[in-house]
Amino acid sequence: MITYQGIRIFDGIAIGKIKYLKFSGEIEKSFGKGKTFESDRFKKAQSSAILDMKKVYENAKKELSSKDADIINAHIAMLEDLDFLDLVQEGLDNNYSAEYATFCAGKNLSDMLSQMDDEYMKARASDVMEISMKVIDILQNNNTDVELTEPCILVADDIPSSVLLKMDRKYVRGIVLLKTSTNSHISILVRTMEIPSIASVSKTFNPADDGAVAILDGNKGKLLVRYETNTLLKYFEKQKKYEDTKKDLQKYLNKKAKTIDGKTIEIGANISSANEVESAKKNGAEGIGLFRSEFIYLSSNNFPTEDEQFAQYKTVVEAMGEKETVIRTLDIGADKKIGYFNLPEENNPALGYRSIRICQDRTDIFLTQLQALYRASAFGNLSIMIPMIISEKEIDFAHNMCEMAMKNLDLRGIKYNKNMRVGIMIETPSAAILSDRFAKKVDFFSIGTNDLSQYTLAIDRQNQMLNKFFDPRAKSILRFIKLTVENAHEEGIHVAICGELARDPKLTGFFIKLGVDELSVSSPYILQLKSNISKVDTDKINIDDYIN
Amino acid sequence: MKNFKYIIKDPEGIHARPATTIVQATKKFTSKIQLKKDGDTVDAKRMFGIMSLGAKKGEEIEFIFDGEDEENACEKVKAIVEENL
Repeated sequence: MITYQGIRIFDGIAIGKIKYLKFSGEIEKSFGKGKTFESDRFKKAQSSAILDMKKVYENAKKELSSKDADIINAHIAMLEDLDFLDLVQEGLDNNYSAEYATFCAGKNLSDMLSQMDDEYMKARASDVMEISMKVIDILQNNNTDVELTEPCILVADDIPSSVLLKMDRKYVRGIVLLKTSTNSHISILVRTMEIPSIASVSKTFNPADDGAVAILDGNKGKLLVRYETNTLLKYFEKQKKYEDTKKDLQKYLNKKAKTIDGKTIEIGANISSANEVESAKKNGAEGIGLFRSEFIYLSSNNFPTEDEQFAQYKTVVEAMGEKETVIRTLDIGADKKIGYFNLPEENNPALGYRSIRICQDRTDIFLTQLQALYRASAFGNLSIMIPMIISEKEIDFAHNMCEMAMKNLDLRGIKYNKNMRVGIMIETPSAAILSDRFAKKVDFFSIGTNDLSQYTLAIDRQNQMLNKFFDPRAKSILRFIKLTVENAHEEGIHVAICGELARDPKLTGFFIKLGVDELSVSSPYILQLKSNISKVDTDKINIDDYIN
Repeated sequence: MKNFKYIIKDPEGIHARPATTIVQATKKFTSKIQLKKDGDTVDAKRMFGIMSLGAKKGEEIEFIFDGEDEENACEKVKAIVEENL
């Protein structure tokens, strides 16, 4: 069996024939057959591209939101733009072929956009290349219309959005974007269409697999080819089960999570980028319980500026409206290393130089982030939380930095929410033990069970050899959780659980009985969790059974 | 010559969609139409030029019209800018 491992864009299981698509990439320098001849060729290709895109636009308006369809309208405007046409003309004046002149014009403008100090404009660079390639495909008579006649799994390095929009999507069972990031425009589109899909595949695709029947496991980010019959049978079953459960779970979408005996609990979503908000909302999240801000740093080649961060935070906060968004400040180090931070190699990274510890040395980085967060607080219901806290001194440090961020914004005359809630993660034994004191100083707690359990049990979660020694429901961990919840409620503050443990069906009853206020899990697990809660009867739960 | 100034209200600034709308409006007139932000001036009939300004919410832009239909152009473009930005 061959496994292509990638990263999930949208979950679900698809089984179908692989259809491998290739679109043109770099165009080599070439000269044409005279200026007038090449200029005519360009004009014809340009008008035929525009005509074609107008058709796509009309269809897209029927199926998508007007905002999504307007992207195509902007593409048409780019193709008609005088700057674009001038640059093509420049190439033609150099006796280039129409193809190469078009390619240079597209490259020139896309370079201009990608150098702008603006995330949104940077992302438009790929749109310019897409429209240029469209003209080139017409010039070269490349057939980009993908005609589908049977159910299939599309595999391509990247797919131009207009091509996907034009396809007969009833046949598209799954999509594999080999060389595209999960944040690209096309990935976002695929997610909106809710097609099982994966991106960023590490292994090179073998063209011999084109036409083979394959299994796409979106949940695990895998594409399987040349598998054994029982694997297929297993997946048929999995797929059926997945579809049935999914349908059944929809009934919990707009319902509050409630136990048999009428106890309720809030359900939040954990996300890693602004693009995941829509999926959180679609799955019935009542808020964002954890936005891991470090992914903004991970996807950047240098320290993200205040404006860049602000734009991302604001998008999330605005999309959630009145519902609360909790953004966790920078949590890097340990298993999340970033080149430009120049962090030293460590013998014991899990117990090492990470998150709030780095922020205490590099106050400039922390302050930039806090200013971006305070600015975003003016646009909705935002709270922030600080990770890896072990002492009151660190809480005081964080508060002082918040004060400083607010003062700086005052000086710049920028509005923000002065009362933005500041909470902390309880993810070290030290924090759990001192939670009575910490609760007097912060607005809320969120228990990060992944780190809390590795530190409590002294088991490195990155070391697979230790898996057999690891018990996520160890009594010591559950006692720490109980202690933290009790101390939080003693001071009347909100307490959430945002680690993997939050969706463990064997602990759902325990958490609710303890009085945990919120469970926050990845979007695809929300409805399942709500369903699990509806089967809990807290009268039948005995806390002692879990901790003694 | 006619002109008007405007402070951008759209939270996303002049991104691709409003730039498209502006160009579709300005192209209908024969007058020379310029768009200014801070020290930069671009041709308001060119989409990439407009996008390169990177104009954001709260920033001031100025449209300058010069030509036979400047009166009419100024009025129409102003209405479109007020509606879309």
